[in-house]
Amino acid sequence: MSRTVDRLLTAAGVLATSARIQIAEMRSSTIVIVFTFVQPAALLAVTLLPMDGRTPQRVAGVVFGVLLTAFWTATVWGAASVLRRDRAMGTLARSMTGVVDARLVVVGKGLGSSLVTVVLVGVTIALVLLVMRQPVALAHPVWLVVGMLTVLASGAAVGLLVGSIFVLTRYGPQVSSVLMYPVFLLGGMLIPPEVLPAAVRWVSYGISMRWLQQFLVGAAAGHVSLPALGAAIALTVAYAVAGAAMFSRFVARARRDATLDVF
Amino acid sequence: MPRLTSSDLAAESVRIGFRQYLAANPWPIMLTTEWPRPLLQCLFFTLLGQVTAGEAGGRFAFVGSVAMIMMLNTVVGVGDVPAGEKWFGTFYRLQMAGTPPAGAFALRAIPWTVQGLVTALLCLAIVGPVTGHGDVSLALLPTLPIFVLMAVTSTAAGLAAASPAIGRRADVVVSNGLVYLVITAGGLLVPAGRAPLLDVVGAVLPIRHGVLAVRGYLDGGPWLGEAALELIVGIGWGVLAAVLYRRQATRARATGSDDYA
Repeated sequence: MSRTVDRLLTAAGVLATSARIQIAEMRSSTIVIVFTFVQPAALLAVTLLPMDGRTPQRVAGVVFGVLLTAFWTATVWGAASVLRRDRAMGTLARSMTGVVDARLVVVGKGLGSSLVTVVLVGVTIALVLLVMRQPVALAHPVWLVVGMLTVLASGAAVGLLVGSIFVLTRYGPQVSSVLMYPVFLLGGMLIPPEVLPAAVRWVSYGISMRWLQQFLVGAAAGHVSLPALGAAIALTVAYAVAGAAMFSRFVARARRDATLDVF
Repeated sequence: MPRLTSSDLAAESVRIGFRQYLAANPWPIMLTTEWPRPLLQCLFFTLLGQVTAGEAGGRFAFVGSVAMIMMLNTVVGVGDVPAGEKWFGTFYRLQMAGTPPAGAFALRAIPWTVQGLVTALLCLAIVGPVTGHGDVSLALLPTLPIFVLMAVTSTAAGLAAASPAIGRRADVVVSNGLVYLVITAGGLLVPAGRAPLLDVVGAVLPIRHGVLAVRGYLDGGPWLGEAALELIVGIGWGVLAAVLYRRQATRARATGSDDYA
């Protein structure tokens, strides 16, 4: 029993330390400014300014769409840059071969990145809405917090899933840049799935952001959709399980091929 | 060994530019990421315009998006040309060659300008028909010279933006910041006149006047004046880039900061 508790405490410590390291690294990363200030402010402006009939409910849909879009950008880019930085600094092999499970390090860094991103994007959105003097509906703040916590967990799980790809390739920035837009298009965040052709619409059912958007917009308007929240949580668990399996497999492959430190 | 003429040096710079580009973006990467990304971005912003402002909004956004996606190469990507000198520690060699760095960078930037145009053409060929704007794609074909002009002016702006940023590790912020500024204030997605402040800022940005010229042509109105303004704005950015790189080269000689450190 005490061994289990010790292991859990160790895991929690690794997660917290990794998150802290990631937050410290983000403070010196200039790209964070782009993802958390520049992109959300621009997206909000180009979506709200041409829009006719800006009701607080409709604006809430745009606000959470922009937040999740910026979040997805930062998550994918973060997953690529964490491993790229480790590889460039020569610490990737040490992380992957250390006594602590490397997946805990990646998940911890993902959580740190997600937390910073959500807070900074939230501040940016609030500032833009203030400048535009645009009211927004936020009917159920407690459920919105629950939704945002699920967003954080989902981001960390996706980071593990996507990050495993970057163990194998040196073209992390290019791959991450092309991964962004399919989810922008199919994730139901700013583009409602209804406007997509029926042949690809079903893809959005497998993207947690789609359900989170539905839940957050509903909670903001006063209609809490627990099935949407449940779907988002289930997908997050599925991402985490698949990510953990893929990450171990790809690391084993990179170690076998001796390519962990090859940049 | 015969002395290289200016045209030899220029041809060699262009050749190095293409080799540098293909080394960083080999064909498999170009086919799987460098071309799909602008296509997806153009599709996303076209649909976003449709969602926020209906069919007319989608048509408006499609025209702006085709111009917008050129900047992935001509503003963001082109920063790699001067930044490469820092990464590889080779700026001192360029200084020793006696070739003006601004000229060398401009010539080496040509592949990025060409790639910007290629991606715009891909959007016309694929995104237009997919989003139901195939007629707009066809109508835009006569305006391709204006797109060439916009590709050149935005490359000049991209090089100018990269210059002060590289030494401060801010190239990503400045180049992406410029792109998002053009997206917001360039009349690409937000019609001119919606936000007066954006119109004032947009007047000195690349792409904006070119897109206004393209829209003028599509609507059967005047367009030459806006095209001329795009040229003037582009010359302004080009002169700024030349001055900045010249100043940087002079300072690097004086302080020994050849790698922009």
